[in-house]
Amino acid sequence: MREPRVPEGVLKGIRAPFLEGSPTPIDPPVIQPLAEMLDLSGESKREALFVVQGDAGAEACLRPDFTIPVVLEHLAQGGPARRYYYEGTAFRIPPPGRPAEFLQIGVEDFTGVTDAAIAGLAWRASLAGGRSDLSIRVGDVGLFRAFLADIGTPEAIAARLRRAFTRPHRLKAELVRASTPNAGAAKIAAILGGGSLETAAAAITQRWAKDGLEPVGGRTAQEIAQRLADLAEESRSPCLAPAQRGQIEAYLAIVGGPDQVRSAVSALVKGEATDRELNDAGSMLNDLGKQGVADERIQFEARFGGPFTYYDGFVFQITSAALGSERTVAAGGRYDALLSQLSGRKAAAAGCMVRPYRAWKDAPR
Amino acid sequence: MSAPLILALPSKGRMKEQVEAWLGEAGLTLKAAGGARGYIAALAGVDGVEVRLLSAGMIAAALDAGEVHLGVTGEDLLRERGEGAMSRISLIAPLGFGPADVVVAAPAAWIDVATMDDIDDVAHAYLARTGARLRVATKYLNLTRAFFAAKGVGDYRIVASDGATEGAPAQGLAELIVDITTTGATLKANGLLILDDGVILKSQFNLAASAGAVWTGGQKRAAKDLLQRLGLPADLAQIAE
Repeated sequence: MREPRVPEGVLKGIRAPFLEGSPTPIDPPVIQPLAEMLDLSGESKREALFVVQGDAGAEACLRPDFTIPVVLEHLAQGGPARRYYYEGTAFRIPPPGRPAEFLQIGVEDFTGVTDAAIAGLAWRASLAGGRSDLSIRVGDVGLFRAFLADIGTPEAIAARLRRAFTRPHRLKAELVRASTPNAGAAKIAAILGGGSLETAAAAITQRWAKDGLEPVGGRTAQEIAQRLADLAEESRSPCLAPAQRGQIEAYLAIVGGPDQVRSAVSALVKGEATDRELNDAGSMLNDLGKQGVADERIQFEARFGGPFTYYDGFVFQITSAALGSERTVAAGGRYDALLSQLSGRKAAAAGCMVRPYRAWKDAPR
Repeated sequence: MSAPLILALPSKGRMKEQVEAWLGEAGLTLKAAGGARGYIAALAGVDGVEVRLLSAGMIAAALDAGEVHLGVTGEDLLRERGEGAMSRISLIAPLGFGPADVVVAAPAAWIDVATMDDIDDVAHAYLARTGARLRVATKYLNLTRAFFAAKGVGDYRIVASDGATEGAPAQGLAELIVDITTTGATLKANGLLILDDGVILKSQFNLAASAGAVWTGGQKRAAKDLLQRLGLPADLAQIAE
C-alpha cells in the first residue's frame, strides 16, 4: 500500500523550515547495499527492509529512511561541513493496514548544529501540518553517561550500562550482573596463569592443540587472552554498591516536563562535573523553549534512547495525540559516533525527518 | 462428491518413514493414488481425506497459506514463519518423534565464551575493532532475530545459509551459527559448541491445522474422525469456526 499524496500547499509549509539556511539538496539512491545497511543500523532493522536481488550480485534493499544513505553519499563526497536537505519516498514493510511507501522530508547536518536547533526545526515543520495536539519526547544517553560518572560508577560497569542503554532487557541484566560478585574469576585466573598476555595466548594455543580445536571464527588467541584479562580485571574491581544501583534505577525512572526533570536529577546528583552536564541538559530544554516549544509539550524520559542503534546522544520523537505514539510524526537525534567511526575523525552529526502525511491535520483516514 | 480434507505429509526420507510408522500405530496406511507422480495419496479405508506429499518446508508454507487443512512438519519450520504465522497455524499435538533443537553455537576455540552475555560482549568488541558486526549463519532468520532481541544482543548480522550451515565458521563466512541439531555431533566435528543458554527451541514433529484454510462441514467432520483414530484431542473449535 502506498501513502496518499499530501497537497503541494501543505507540503510547502512543512518543507519551509528545512530550507532555512539553504542546505544542499541531496537525492541518495533508492536501492542501497544490504550488508552495509545492516552493519550500520543492526540486524533488528532487517524485519522492515524490502530486500531486493537480481540474478547476480550482492543483496540490496530499498531505503527504509534517509539517514544512512545520506551519510554514505556525504562520505563519498569527502565529508564537507554541510547540511543536506532531502525529500523522497522511503520503503518499509509496515504493520498491517499501514503504507509501505511513504514520503519523508528531512535534513542531515554535519556542521555542528545544536540539539535544540535540530529538534526545533522538526517541531516547526510538524506544526506546519496544522495539528495542535503535538508533543515532543526527548532523551539523552549523554546525560546518562555523565550521571554514571558523577555517582562514581566503576568505569568497566559504566561502559556496559551505556552500551545496554537502548535495550531494556540487557540493561536490567547488566544491573544485576554488576551488583553480583563474579564467580568465574578463579577459573579465568587459572587459564591466565598470572602471566603476561603473550604467555596467556600461548597457553590458549596449547590448549587448542591439546583439545584438537580448530581456531575458527575470526578471533585470535591474543584477543581471547585480552578479553580474559579484562574479565579478570573487572572481577577484581568492586561491583556496584546497592546504593549506586538504587540511584541508577531512580535515574532511569525519570519521566516528566523540564522542571520536574531538573529537580529529579538535582536530587540524585551532587558532584560538580554533572552539574555542568545537567546544566547542558537544562539549557537544551531551555533552548527547546526558545525554539517555540512550550514546556507542557516537552516530556523528557531518562530511558528514551531513540529508535535506532546509531544515535548516541540527544534523541527526540514528535507524536500527535490523535495518531498515538506508534505513528511518529517526526524524529531525529545525534549520531556523532557513527560518523566519527566511518570517517575516521571526530565528527558532529545530527538529523531529523518529518512524515508530512502524518503531520497533515486534514489527512483522510 | 464433496471436497476432501487435505492432509500434508512429508514426501521423503526418514521423516516419511517416521510418519508412516506413526500412522501404522493407529492402523492407517498410506496408499499411493497413482497419477500425479506419486505426490498425492490416500489413507486406506478412510474416506474424505486426500494426502499431499510435500517437503517439510513446503508443508509449513502450505499450512500458513491455507492451502492444506492439516499437516505434519517440524515445529522449527512453523515457528520460523514468524509471529503472525502462529496466529494462522494451530499446533494440535506434538508427535513424539523428529526431536531436534534449534541452537546458537559458537567456536569451541572461544574458551572465554559460554553464554549469550559473552556473545554480547565479544560482538561489541568485534564491532569496535573491525567496524563490522559478528556474523551469524542460519536459515532461521526469524527465530534468530527474535531470540537475539530477547537476549538483548544487537551487534550482530545474519548471513543467510541454505545448507551445511555448520561449516560456515570454518569457511570464514560467519563467526556463529544458528542451526538445528539432534546430538550435537556435527557441531562438534566442525569445532562448534552450543552456548549454555543457546537453545532457541526444542522442536519435534507436530500435527498442525491451518486456520486460514476454508473448512466445510464435511472437512471438519473428516478431521475430527481422523484425529480420533489417531488418538489425538479432536477439538478443532479453535481453528475452524
